[in-house]
Amino acid sequence: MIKFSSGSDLTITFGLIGLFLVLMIAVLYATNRKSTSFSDYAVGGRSYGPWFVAMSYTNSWWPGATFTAFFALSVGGVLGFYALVYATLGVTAMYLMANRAWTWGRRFNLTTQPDLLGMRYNSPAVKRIASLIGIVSVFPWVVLGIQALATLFQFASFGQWTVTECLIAGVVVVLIRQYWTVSMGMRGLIMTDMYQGLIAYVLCAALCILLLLGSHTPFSHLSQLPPKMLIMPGGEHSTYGPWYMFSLIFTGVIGSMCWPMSFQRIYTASGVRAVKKGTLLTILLVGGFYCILSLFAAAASNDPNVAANPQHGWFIALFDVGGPWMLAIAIVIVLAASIGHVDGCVQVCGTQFANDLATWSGPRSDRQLTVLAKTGMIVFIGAAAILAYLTFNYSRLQLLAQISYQGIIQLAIPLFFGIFSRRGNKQGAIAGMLVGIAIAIVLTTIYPDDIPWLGSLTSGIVGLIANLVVFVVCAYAIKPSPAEQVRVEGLFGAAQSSKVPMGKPGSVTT
Amino acid sequence: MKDTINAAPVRTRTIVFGAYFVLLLVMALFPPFYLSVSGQSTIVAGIPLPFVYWISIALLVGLGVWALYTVESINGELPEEEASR
Repeated sequence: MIKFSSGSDLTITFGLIGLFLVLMIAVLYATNRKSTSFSDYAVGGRSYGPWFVAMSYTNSWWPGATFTAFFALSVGGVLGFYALVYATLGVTAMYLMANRAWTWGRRFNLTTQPDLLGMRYNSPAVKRIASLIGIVSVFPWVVLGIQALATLFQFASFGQWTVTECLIAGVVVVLIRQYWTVSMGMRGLIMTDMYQGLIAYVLCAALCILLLLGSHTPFSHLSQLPPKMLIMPGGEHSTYGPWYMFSLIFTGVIGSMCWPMSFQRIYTASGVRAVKKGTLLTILLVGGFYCILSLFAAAASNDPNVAANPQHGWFIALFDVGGPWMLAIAIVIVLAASIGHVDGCVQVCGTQFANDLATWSGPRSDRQLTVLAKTGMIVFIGAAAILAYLTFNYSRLQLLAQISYQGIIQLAIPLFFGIFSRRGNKQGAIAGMLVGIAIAIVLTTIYPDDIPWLGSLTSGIVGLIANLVVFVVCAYAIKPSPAEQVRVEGLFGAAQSSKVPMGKPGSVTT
Repeated sequence: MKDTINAAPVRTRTIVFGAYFVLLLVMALFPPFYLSVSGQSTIVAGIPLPFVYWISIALLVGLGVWALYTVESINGELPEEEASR
């Protein structure tokens, strides 16, 4: 933890945090509407326009760690910019899958990503395995998110609070916020995502531009960066092999729609047009914000305090520029991003528990599903809070988060094949996911970062290759029944018919 | 312009946009491309070339999606929806 030598004013930092939280609660009460069905509770009644979809996706995409871990990467140089590319390429998948994913979602009343997989492969087992992978993969990120809030309170107290006090404060803030996530479901989430997003991404980007125009972290510093900041991993003198960057970016690109909270944003949209226009706006928000933040981080590398502590560089840079007031704004921005991300995780995990897992014994009523989702959210956030407290100094938690990323991308094979191709079957989907995730877990435990003897490929990519092989072999070896062929044709036909250009019947696009 | 877009066969459009996005994906993923600018201190608009490389790909992705959306809108393939929030 950084010690601040001067300007410690807790009234300013905690005052702004308090103001942020009060306004957030005001937004929740002002927009509160009673859910009339489980679909209403889980996906906001499929009623939101492109700006809401975009802001909600952005909140679920960039966690609070963007301002610590990713900021540190950009302070170090060009490596930090890889996230800009995978974020924008990844969200493009949302555009390409919008038609089928949204149309099937409305037609079959789907509320989660595993719900779509289960419907596509006509298999409850596929749905449950995908749902379990999703929930388990998201869990470490919620724990890390709560712990990040503790770090935030360390800064807000200027290092005067103990680690335990900060952790308790972080847990309390998250638990209080989740009261509304549980009671309001997706509607509350989307409304606060807009509020939080305006602070975390729009205000942040505007602030970074202003600071780049100033004298402390000037834009002109970017043209004087030392040569070592311009070197990408994988080159001649790099400790990584040539496939390291490939693995990072490819994992990010295909992983974007695998994260259940990102995919679920499709179902909150009011239609295919809203998803597609929302994707455009998402690229603007996700890419624009991150690009500006990364340029600011690289320019801030000229601040010796930032260079010495890049993980805390965001807070230090702003404190060095404007004292406690700027630090308070920096904290509120990270708080907004962290809460937005944790909310999205909790909401989707509770929904998946109710919709995908708790329906094993038969269908449930809307009321039962809503109660189960709320219970799932309470258990999920409670468990995460306890684990966050118990594992605050447990470095292996970061490894779990890494495994989770390598694990979640195993959903990509059944997801992408399921939406873009008529081929594939439930046997391949199940066996592929299980083989892929087993390989990813084992290899990540042995090689947490990269696998040197494979040119620095990461474990998830190796798992993914095995997953693909299993899926394709099963697709060719196990022929679908005529009834299944008709069912799948019907699915794709239904999505195609919704794309027929108006006034041009029969002119079907792919 | 609108007439040209309307007249273009769907297959042509799929190939054009498909090739465009695949090219961007290749530029982002394959080491020979991005390693060719690694360590270069050339400055473009005040920003070092390796940074510009990644920013350009992101920018081109955004422009590509925007162009695709425009084409689909002109062709009437995006159904109007009920009033959204």
